[in-house]
Amino acid sequence: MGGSGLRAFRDVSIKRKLTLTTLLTCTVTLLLAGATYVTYDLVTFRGDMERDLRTMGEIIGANSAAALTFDDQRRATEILSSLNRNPSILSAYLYKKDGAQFAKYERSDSSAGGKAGLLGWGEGSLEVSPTIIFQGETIATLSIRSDLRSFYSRLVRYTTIGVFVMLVSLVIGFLLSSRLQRTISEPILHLADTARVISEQKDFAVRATKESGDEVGLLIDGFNEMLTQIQKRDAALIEKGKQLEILNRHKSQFLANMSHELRTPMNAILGYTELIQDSIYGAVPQPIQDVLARIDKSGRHLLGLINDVLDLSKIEAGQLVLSPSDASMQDIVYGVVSSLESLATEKGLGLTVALAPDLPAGRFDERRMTQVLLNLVGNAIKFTDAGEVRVTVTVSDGAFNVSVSDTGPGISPASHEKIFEEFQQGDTSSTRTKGGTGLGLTIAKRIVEMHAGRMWVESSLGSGATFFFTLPARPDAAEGTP
Amino acid sequence: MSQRILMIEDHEENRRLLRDLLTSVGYQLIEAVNGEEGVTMAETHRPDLILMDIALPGFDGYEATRRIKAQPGLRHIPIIAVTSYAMSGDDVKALKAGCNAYVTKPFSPRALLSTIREYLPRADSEPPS
Repeated sequence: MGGSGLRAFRDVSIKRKLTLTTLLTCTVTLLLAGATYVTYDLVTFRGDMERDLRTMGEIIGANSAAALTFDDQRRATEILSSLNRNPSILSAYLYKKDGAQFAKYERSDSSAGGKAGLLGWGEGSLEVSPTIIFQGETIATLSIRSDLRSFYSRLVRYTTIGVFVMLVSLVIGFLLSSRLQRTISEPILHLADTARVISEQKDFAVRATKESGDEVGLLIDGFNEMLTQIQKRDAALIEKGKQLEILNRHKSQFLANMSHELRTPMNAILGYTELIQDSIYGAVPQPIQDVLARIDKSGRHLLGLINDVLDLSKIEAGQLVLSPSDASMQDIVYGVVSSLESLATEKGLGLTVALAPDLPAGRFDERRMTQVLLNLVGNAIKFTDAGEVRVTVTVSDGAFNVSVSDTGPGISPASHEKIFEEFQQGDTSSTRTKGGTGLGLTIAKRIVEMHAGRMWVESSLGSGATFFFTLPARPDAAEGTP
Repeated sequence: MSQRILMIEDHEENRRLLRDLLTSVGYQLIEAVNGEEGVTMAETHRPDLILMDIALPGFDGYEATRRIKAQPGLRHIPIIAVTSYAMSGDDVKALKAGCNAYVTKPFSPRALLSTIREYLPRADSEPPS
């Protein structure tokens, strides 16, 4: 119980802890001091009472000596009766040397007992038995009994005063400690408040104010110093980030320039190849035609690579600007399908389209969206050897949901993220057998994302693959348009 | 008389390619290597069609197109822009400047030829085949 109480105390606020600590200390101190004082006083008081009673007994005894000597019982009783002037005296008995009772006094209302005993004082009464000595000889014994009413009333009075003083002290202690605890709790609360503001507003320029040179002051100094270091580190990180950004922009600019420069000679290579193929320079025998076809194919592949690298570097550099226009998703799908139909037919694949009725008009970069679909459908045809490729478009929540599914070898779940990275394909060896740059999917995904859409793949090995993308039909109506 | 095409192109290799292509199908060719020269030659020679490269030294193909299209006597001459894939939005800009059509570089000579024939249907020569 003590353990759990202490644990509960731990979660109490510092303010209350300080006040409680002060009050508890106060109470214990007052109780100890009060109890010590009262006990001491009561013990002394009892000693005084006993001494007074004994003195009184000795005086009575001395007065009774003559009566005893003359065996005057009436006189002895008279002397004892004088005790009625002291209301505390309960009874007095005078015994002769042989033990016989000689005289007695009993208070009229004596109930012989009084209140319950306290501190081992018998039946709540005090008794002394002085001997009466006359001319050096013990002649009788007096037994005198007093009640403890003055002792009890003193005890009650002291207890009342004690409780009252304790209450007043606690109230004053409470007021004092609740004022004084602020010197400790306020700087701590200020520190906690500052820390909260900093984490909420992410403003590391805020500082806690130090108002004392004590341990809390040291804590605040340490806290502020930590903030300074965080600020320095942040500044360094931001500077580093800026440098990286500049470097990255330079890199992208370089790639863009290089791609442009690479393309100029490509124009001549592909152009002249075509001119020769078209016999502009004279008739071309079949073996040369075959070689020209290969030059043309390789040249176009190289051109595709250059275009993709350029596209990607423009996207990375944030230089690819979309030209959105009112466009029909239906037209784009049919355009892409008709341009790839011959490729599918060549491989004996089915190429089907399923469009939801009443597709809304869209607003997006028509050329870029064609590029995305060409890539997805082209890939599907390229990687599928038997079966079909299916393009489906539905609409939900004001967005097109486009899917391109194939019956190809499928993509293992481990590669679902990887295939969207640069120069990654489901199987690295397939780049060589299937061709392609390894950049198409990356670019397609980025283009969709630039349109505030999403692209992902669902597939498992051996069961074909389905590429999905969403495209807000009218991104200007939705929020968060780039 | 054969139809005359003005080619404004700064790149020597491309000029040769176009020359080989266009003369092989019987067009008469005149050549300019920058925008300024191109505008002057358009004024003096009044060609039947202009092939306009966009990336030119001095003022570019857009500016040359605007200047040619601003002259009432030359306004009717069709201009085909040769835009670069590298610069997105060139196609739109070319049409805005007054070009009648555009081909994207690198262009296929076959495709370029068919575009030219859309504007010069009365070519009096057939390509040797």
